[in-house]
Amino acid sequence: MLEHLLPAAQLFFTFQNLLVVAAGLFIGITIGAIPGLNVPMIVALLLPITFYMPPVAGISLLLGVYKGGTYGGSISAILINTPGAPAAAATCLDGYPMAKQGKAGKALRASIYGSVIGEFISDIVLISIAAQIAMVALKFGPTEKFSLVVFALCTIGVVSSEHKLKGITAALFGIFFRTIGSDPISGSSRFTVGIFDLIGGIPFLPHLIGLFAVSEFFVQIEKKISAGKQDVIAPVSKNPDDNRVTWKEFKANIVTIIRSTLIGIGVGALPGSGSAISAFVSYGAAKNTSKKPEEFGKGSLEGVFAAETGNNAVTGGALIPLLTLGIPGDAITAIMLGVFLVHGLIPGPDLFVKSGDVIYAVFIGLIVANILHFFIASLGLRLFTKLLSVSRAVLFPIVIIICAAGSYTVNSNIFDVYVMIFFGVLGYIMKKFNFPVAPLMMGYILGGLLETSLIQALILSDGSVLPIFTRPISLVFVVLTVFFIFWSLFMQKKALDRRKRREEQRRRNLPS
Amino acid sequence: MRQPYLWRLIEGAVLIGLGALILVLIPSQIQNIPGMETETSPSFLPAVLAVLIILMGAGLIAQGFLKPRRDGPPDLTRVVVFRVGLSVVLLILYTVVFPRLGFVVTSGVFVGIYAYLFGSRSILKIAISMVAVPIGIWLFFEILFRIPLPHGILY
Repeated sequence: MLEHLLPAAQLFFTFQNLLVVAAGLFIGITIGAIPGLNVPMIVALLLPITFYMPPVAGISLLLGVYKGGTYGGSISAILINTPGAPAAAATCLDGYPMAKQGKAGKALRASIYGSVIGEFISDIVLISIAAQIAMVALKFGPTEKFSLVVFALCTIGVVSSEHKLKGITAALFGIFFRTIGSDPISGSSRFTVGIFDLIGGIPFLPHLIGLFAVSEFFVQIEKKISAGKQDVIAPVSKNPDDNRVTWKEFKANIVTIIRSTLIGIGVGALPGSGSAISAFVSYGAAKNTSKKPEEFGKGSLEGVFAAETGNNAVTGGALIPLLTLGIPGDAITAIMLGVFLVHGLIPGPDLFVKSGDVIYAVFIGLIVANILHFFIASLGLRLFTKLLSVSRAVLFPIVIIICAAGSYTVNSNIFDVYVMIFFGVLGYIMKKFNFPVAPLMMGYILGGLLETSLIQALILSDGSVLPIFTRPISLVFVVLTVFFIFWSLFMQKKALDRRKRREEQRRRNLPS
Repeated sequence: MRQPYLWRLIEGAVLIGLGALILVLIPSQIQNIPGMETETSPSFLPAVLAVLIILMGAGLIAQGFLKPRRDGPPDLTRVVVFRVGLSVVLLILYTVVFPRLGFVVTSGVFVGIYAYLFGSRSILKIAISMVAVPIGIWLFFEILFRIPLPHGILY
């Protein structure tokens, strides 16, 4: 490794590469922050441009977009309760309540710090022990993947709402929606009700936009603004402490940040799992170990740190299976594989030997991107919080039009906009009846992986489910799932008892 | 005996109904391949999900009887239902119209309608939004990223 560092540094530190990384970050943050636009789409659009660039510049541009986009999704999640990317759904849970309390600046800063630290540590781990982590990831067969997905979905269902049953029900419906379309093994159509456009399944982006953005639009339109009254999305507090993270608050969350980073690295290293799993598992772990779990879902800074760190720590981890095994971790790394191949960089163990200078130059680019990410995101902070001062009456119609355009342009198909509206109505009804929407989305995202791993596992075991409980790694996830559920119930009961005791005390102290 | 929480019972019943509906629809909506093992058949996972949803529904009904209610009934006054219903209808109308008339023109009109529905009465703000927003989106998608939006008969 050391022999490659100096040539790699010489290769990376040029004005063009630095400019390209900054541009990628800026594009990624902007696109990630706008609901209706998705980062994989922009990465795919930029891909042909990278073919004409030197390999380090081309790869660094896309990595900048990847990192920026992963963080950018949290901006709209915090400001308007609409995640710009699926992984930011976990950030909505506490980021938006914080914004409603006038602490949007604090939430955004926590998001920046968590993102940058998570990415930085994740990149260091990638550079140091990528090959070793890849060997562990290789031990994950279909049974282990199935158990991991069940663990992730149960965690998400349980932590995203006070009503555990409703959370798990939402996840089940998400998986059900994923089954609509063609069966992955036989290709038979399922629940398409004669609609040709459903043969390929429910389109993902319109589903995401509808569930979060359009449903929020309907929630907002319930209340009319009185004539002459300025109604903003959320108040911006004049208290400076509400717009920054104090050193005391940061210190109190260091354990959360480190734990979420480790979760992110581990999850990112598993092919097929993405930042959304990591964000929710990190959030769940933070809630279950927190001294104040009752604050989660109501504006907990710890919740924002956990979600954002877990979300962004995946980026380094996701490159591990890509670089060492040629297996992309998600849609974006799948597109990035194209850049590597076009430039003659064949992923695998030999990559680090034959093209060590280039690969380590990319790694240096990752570290530099983290530093630039911090400054670019911090500079943009004031601009983003200004959005909160825009009247709802103007902002939400704009958001809905962008969402319609975003949904339409995925496949240039008007059916996708109807899908967006359907899920908007469904999401609104769910919110009215206290069913959380995040598990439904996650069930949809992970449903495909759940089904294919389950079927593969059953084929390998001749239809027996025993390996789920006997294979060591799978058993760990099963035990963790059961533990998580019972621990959440226990913590919830504890918080409820504490609340009852406080109410009783208050009643006793009231003058007769 | 404690008074059951009615809304929880309704929610549970709806879930049981939806789960049962999925089970009923499976034979007509999923074409099973003869000779395929049960576990790998296309209807396996949907059937499992339907049963689990029914169980969740039963769990909610049990909760309605066993647990005291903590949250109030959903806020569904006539005004709320009317405003949200109208927004849904307008959104569907927008979706029907914009491929025919064109995205830019239709979006301009609908931004204005929605801003008025939200309660904005500033003619200047509404007018600026009606012009700037669709043009901005058109520039972003069609010019910057070369992603076509429907032009229709107007634009």
